Amino acid sequence: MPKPISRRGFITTLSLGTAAPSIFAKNSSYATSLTIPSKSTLEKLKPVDDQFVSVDGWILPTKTLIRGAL
Amino acid sequence: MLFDFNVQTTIDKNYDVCIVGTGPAGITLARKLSKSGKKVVLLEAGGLNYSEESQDFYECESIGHEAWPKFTRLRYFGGTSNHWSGRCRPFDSSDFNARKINGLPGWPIRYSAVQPYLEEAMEILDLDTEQGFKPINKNLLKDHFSPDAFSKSPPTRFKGKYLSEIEATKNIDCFYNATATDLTLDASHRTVTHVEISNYKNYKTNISAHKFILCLGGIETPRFMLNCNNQIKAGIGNSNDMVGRCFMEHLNVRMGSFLYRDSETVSGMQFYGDNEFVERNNIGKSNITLGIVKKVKSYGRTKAIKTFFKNLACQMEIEDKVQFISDFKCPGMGNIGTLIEQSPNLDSRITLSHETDDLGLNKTKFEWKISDFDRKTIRKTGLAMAKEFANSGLGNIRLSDFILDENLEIKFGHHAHHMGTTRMSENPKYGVVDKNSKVHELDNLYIAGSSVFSTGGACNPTMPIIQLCLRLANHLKG
Repeated sequence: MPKPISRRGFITTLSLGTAAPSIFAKNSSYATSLTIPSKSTLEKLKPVDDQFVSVDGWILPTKTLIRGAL
Repeated sequence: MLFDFNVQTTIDKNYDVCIVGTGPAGITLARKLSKSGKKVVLLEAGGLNYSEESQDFYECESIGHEAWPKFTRLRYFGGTSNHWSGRCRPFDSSDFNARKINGLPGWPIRYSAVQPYLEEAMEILDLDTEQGFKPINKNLLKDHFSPDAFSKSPPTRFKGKYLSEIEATKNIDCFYNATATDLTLDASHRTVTHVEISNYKNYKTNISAHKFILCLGGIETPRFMLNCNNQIKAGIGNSNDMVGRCFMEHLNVRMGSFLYRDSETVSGMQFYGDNEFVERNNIGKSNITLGIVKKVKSYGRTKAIKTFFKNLACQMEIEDKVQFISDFKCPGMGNIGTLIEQSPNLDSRITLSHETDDLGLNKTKFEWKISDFDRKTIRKTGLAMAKEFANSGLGNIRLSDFILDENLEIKFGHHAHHMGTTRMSENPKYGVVDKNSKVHELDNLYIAGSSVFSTGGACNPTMPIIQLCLRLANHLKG
């Protein structure tokens, strides 16, 4: 009987399988492109003070984002 | 009486008062002083109607931020009242606080000096004195900002309202097509003896009067004084190098955009920075206007988006979803407009260009600059408004990148409010006119108009100009 695969296992396998060629490539442009979106997203999120953050210019209460994450 | 100086070139009377400029300031002063029995000569550089020939005299050189004087001022009878928008809001008493900004003192007079002339100014501008100044929206924000109260003039066109009255008044001689080109001082350099005027054919003559009042606006008044340099090289009234300095506008900053949660109830809002907020942060005043997209559906955009995503799960059929998207008109969305007080600063100034106009007068060289104080005002105000908007549950504001990033240059435009270039001050070191609008170093030269504003507040200047003119007329009538 085949061993059941968990969702985490499936995603890990998929991402490793996809990433492997670019990781082992000598001059990989793919590896670079993977980092750009996450860096760009972080740059757009800036704390304004202890109560507000700026997300791409939108001034949002921090509590709204925390609530969204939960 | 009305005369075309291109035709009627003989002027042999002696006048009590010579008023240069027929905008709201000049016309108000002429009417008031003639009613108190003064013989008045009123001079207009342009004609009775708009002409390119006249308007071209406002061509200038600009090396700072562009302020477009040629397109914002009008050079014919009635002046810029011929195209003003009519928004009126009085100064606050706090505008006359004597706090120093950029090392420069504020007004040398208090609010009580102009307040008695408010009702008469409102009548001149056809405002409803009983209704007064009212906000268009409720107090929707919790802190820092209040609804801005204002009144709207029809707007009053001074030419349409007062030309026939000026023409019929026997002790007013109004000459149009008569550009003031020079002032002559007596030997002591304390008294103006006459003004030289020129028509478009370059014919010149002199007019004598006991007192002279310059009502040429925030650009042309300093330009004229600097051009009067035959007897004093630095120009008349300029021994402290203050003529033309401290040019102020109301800053029109595109703060950003917003999404309003419930656009059903209002179509626009105007707020005004509270004194407590302004003083605590040591910044200038501000008017914030939020215009909401008018094609409003039955919900605000934020609410609609939430509903859309909720329905996306399973409740709507695909054709309904497509229809929803195609019908979506962004209700509740809008842009933020501002009218922000610019502080006086010595580096923002008007000087003379090397180029001359057709009458041989040096053109204006414009150097409009804002200071770090103004940058702080803009950024603090924008951020405070965005926070208040969210805190009060109205929606969310997206600020322009230069509001949040101090390394970026602030983008701003103008409101055609030209102020401060012959500012009022107790000490001649910090201004050009004294608290009675008299040029410090001369006995009989006065200035009326927004060029005497020590600070500009965050209100449209026409009504305060009229109040100050009524006050000056009251001072001069004795």
